[in-house]
Amino acid sequence: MDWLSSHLLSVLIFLPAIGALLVVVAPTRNAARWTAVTFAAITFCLSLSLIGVFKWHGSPQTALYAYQSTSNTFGVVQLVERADWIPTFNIQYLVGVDGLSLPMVILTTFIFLLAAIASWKIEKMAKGYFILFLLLQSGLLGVFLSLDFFLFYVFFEISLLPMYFLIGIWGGPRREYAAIKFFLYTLLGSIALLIAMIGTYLASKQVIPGGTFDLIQLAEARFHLPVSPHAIMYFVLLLIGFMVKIPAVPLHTWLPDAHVEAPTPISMILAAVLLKMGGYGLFRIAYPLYPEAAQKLWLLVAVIGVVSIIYGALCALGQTDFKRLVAYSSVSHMGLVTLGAAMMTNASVNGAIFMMIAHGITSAMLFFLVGVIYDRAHHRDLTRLGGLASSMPAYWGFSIVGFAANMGLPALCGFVGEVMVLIGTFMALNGNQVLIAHGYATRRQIVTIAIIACFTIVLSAAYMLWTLQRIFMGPQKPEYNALPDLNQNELLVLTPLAIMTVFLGILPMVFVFAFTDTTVAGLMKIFGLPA
Amino acid sequence: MPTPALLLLIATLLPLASFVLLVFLGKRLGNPLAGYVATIAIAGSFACSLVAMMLWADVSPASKWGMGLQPLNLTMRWIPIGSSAFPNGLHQDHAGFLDLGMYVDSLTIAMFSMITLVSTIVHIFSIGYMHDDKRFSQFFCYLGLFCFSMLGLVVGGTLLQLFIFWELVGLCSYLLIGFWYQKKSAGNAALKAYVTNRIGDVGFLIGIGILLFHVGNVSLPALWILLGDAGFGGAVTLPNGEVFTSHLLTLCGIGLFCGAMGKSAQFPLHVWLPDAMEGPTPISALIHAATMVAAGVYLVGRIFPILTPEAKLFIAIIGCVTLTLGALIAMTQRDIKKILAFSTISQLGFMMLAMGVGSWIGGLFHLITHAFFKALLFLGAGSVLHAMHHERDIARYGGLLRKLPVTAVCFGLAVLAIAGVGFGHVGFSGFYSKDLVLAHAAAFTTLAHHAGKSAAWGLFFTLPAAVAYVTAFYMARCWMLTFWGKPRDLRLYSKAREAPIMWIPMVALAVLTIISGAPWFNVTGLLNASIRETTAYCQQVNPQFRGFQSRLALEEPTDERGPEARDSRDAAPTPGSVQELALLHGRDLVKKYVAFAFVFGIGLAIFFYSNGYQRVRPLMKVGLIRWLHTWLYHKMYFDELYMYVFVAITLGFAGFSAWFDQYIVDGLVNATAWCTRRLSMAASWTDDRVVDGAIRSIASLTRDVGSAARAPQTGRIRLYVTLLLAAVAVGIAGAIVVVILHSSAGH
Repeated sequence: MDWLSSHLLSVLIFLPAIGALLVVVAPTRNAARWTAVTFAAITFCLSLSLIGVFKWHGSPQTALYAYQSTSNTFGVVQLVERADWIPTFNIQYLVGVDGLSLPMVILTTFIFLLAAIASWKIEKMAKGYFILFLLLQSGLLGVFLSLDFFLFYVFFEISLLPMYFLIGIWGGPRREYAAIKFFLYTLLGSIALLIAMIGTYLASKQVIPGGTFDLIQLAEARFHLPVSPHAIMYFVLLLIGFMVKIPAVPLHTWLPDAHVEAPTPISMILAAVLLKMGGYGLFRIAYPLYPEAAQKLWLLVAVIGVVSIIYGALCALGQTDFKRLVAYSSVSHMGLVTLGAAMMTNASVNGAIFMMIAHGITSAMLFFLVGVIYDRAHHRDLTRLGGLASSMPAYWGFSIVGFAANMGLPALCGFVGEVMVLIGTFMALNGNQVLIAHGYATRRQIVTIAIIACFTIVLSAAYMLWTLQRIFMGPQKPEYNALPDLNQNELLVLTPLAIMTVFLGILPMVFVFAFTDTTVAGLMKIFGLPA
Repeated sequence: MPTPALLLLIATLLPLASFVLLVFLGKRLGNPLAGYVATIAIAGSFACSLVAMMLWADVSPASKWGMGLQPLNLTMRWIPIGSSAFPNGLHQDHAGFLDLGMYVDSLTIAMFSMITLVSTIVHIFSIGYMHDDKRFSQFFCYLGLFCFSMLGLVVGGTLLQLFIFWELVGLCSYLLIGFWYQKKSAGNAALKAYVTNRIGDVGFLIGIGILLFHVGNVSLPALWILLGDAGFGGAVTLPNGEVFTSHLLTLCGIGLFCGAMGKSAQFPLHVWLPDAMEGPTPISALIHAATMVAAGVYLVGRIFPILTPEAKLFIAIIGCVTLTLGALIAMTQRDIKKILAFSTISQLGFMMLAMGVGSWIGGLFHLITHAFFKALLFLGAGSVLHAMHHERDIARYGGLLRKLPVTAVCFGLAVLAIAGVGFGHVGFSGFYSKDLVLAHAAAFTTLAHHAGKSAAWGLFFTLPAAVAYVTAFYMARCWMLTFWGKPRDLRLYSKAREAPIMWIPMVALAVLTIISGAPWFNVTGLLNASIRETTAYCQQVNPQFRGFQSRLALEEPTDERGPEARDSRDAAPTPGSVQELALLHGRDLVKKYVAFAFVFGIGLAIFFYSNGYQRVRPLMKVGLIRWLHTWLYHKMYFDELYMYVFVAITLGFAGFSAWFDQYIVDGLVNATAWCTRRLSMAASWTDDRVVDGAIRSIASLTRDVGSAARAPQTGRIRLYVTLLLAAVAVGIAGAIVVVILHSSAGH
């Protein structure tokens, strides 16, 4: 037990991989399924136990973005495990958890559990599917838990391959095109990340003897001062690396294709977890390591965010394929994450993190809802659907919750993230906030950005409700009369998601902010702000 | 928690409980049990509100709350926005958090009683009205959610909470407008309502954003205390020394008002309300007449102290345009529900005008009286529709007085109320509230005259005064065409029956319609108490607070005797001041010009419509009148304008974006891929010819690995391995560049 509690994070990361090994030796298809679901469930429970072990009762005033220590300051990074890996370059096996990664980890294990249940219907090469599935989970947990840049990069890459095969083998008719597009795009990001990583390591040699890949140490060392052309270059490279993942316009076109071709559970994971690697990377690496460069380039990032928000929403409005529409709505919502990062205020960063969690829940739900109708009607053409409210009342009920959450209806999770990012953007106008205080932004620029961003609430309502109308309202169509309503398996997936949208929307403090608040306060100090 | 607050909390949560219960058990409970459950819940809410009202009004000196004493402000932290980033100089309970909370004063209690009462009546009515609907339980389920959201809105102590419930009532409105979703028109109307509201909400959000960045808090009391001087024009200095310029304050006020414009169907966002009549009629009565659409007025009432004179002027102009436009269009409509819808728009315009000219009490008083008589009108219309097989065209009614006597009488009483019938000091409810609004509008124009403004400012009185005549006319027209004359569709007429279950709700509302404005009913007393309470509360912190005082938009920052001379706890203007003289003059104007508007209006309607359309037919032959009629009948073509301009542009943009994304952005990506492939082919060709055998053997090794990995994949695997290698090569090259850069930077 003692061993477990001191190696909790490592166990968490590698447990799914062990599960994958067991799936290899599983005798039957059903055994493979049960093994996968069991391991996903155990991992989920284990990740919940993190909440018990995690110390989150620090005050934001004393919170520091640092390792926990015995002094009276409150280091937010906890449960650290450290081992030398490649000593020549000071590369370590270094994992730890703070308020930024904890919600991501729980989101990951939660979505993987539901996706495993949703994968029950996979018949084609089920064993291979579940092996890749569990490997993917290990990779993603590694990304969210590693605090060493090199380790992060390794996990970042590891998570890429299973996804490539999951889309390329189990996907729809154009799966190979979508898979290779996804792969190459992400590879492009990886190269940028690789260069930035090596550059950062070399630059760190000037302040830390021998250099380091330790992300927390790098952030604390503030080696980037003053803003050098190098810092700007590395920041831009990191930005490219993560913007591909988020995805931000104009690097987003892999997403609709990947989603349209991916099988339902993989779509859920792709939208709910994989995209979060990008947002998480921004907050874990790009911003803490190069805060000055980030402030200098805030307008670029903010414009990318706003363009993603509005352009993504407009594209969604113009779609007739249900799944493409949801994919573009992801682009729009993840634009809010980018915007939240760009504004660098406490509220906007908290909001962006919340948005990632909220989007994880709602997008998983929406993609699953798409899958439900695709299974029955065998197409996703919005112009041909209609009148389903009468034949599938339970499906209609869950859809209202999912759609409403996605368009930011209060009391559901989408609202909190959306409104906090927007409020945080307005708050950047305040003289105490970093962009104005450091003189990088003018009030007029911020107001313009904020006002344009606010129009997302009109567009999201328009495309979501119009979709709702096209699928469910209108006279009942004879060809869909006999469609069965949700079955047990589908209810099993949708109910937890629906419950989470409500809980997150009503009690954001309990579920997310209790953890993120202190970490974000620590990040704010890194950005150059007193808490 | 103090008892009144607790009671209101229970009153708010009861409908939520009914909603949750019906979501899970609605089908099993079925018809009519589900209706009973919902009705009992909302009746319980009403009982709670009533007890709260009694406790509140019972002013024993020992009690800590009650009329004229302390309002209750309870808050809880909700989301963090950064701990000490926004010191505004005010002591805050939860600095660095956005709060949810309750703010309870007399206005809250008055609104609660009104909303729960009307809701209860509408619930009872609906049990009869919806009895043959297949989705009976779902209807009451939505109703429960609506009542919860509406009560949550009214009890909200922060702008954020108002916004939250604001959106929720919007969703309920969406679901209920689209309740009969099999009809295409219902789905369209629901979508239109929600999206139009959201356009207003953008303004709301911007307003909240502007307030937040300066003040760091959006709890209503904090805003009142900090920005209570905004109403007197000029910049406001916060206690921490920051200056909130008057331009920004105006922008913020107009932004918040945009939200109210959407919800209260003010011009130019009024287009959704007539379409919303696609919903079941009890919904039109409750949501789209009595409660939700009035939420905009309520919001303006709550943010009143922080509105600058310019913002108020904007509100007055919008109100004036809306009330005129609504009344004119209502004159020509043939659909009974649309007549009522436009009448609602017009009356909401009256309320907004009242707010804009500084008549806080007038606006909210009219809100409450209007809720009763408009709900009655809609229930009456519902009863007619029920009897007439949902035929909504009044051209096919006529002579229904004999078939539906109770409905006709009740509807008639409501018509008299909305027309403002009254003599001297006694009249129907609408008489009192409308006169109050008009008197304040007249006082406003008088002050404008004093201040040397142009004659155009007179429109703030002449337009509403003229509309008072029009209102009496179109409402009397509606009644005459429905209940008087000869039946124009005998088939429908012969089958018409009145359902007795609908009598009780209508009679109850009829009683309220008659009495709710009377001085002894004391709505204005309650509203005055609200002002006193809020003022007293704010003055505990800011002794200078005068946010509600004599708030005409044109008022000079100080009158001759200086602000100190006023009794800042009372809403009435100081005796002898310019304001009071203007008010007296205003009352005279109303007595002289508007007191008998109903006589002309109703008389004209009786003259023209005593026998169906016969007397107006000759008028229609006049070109100008026919042209005007067509223009008004088509709602001034606003729908077409919006459809072919804004909606078409947005959808066009959307289509273009989708096309652009697929063919241009993605096309570029594919083109790059194509080029890379050609390039790599060329490279491999060169490679084959140029590089020697050692390299070739490595290449063949690569090929072997490639074909081994090909098992699960067919086709592009070689390309992808090549590209992977190329990518790694580029990465290494980049790394080398970085190393070189660094080594050179190191020196």
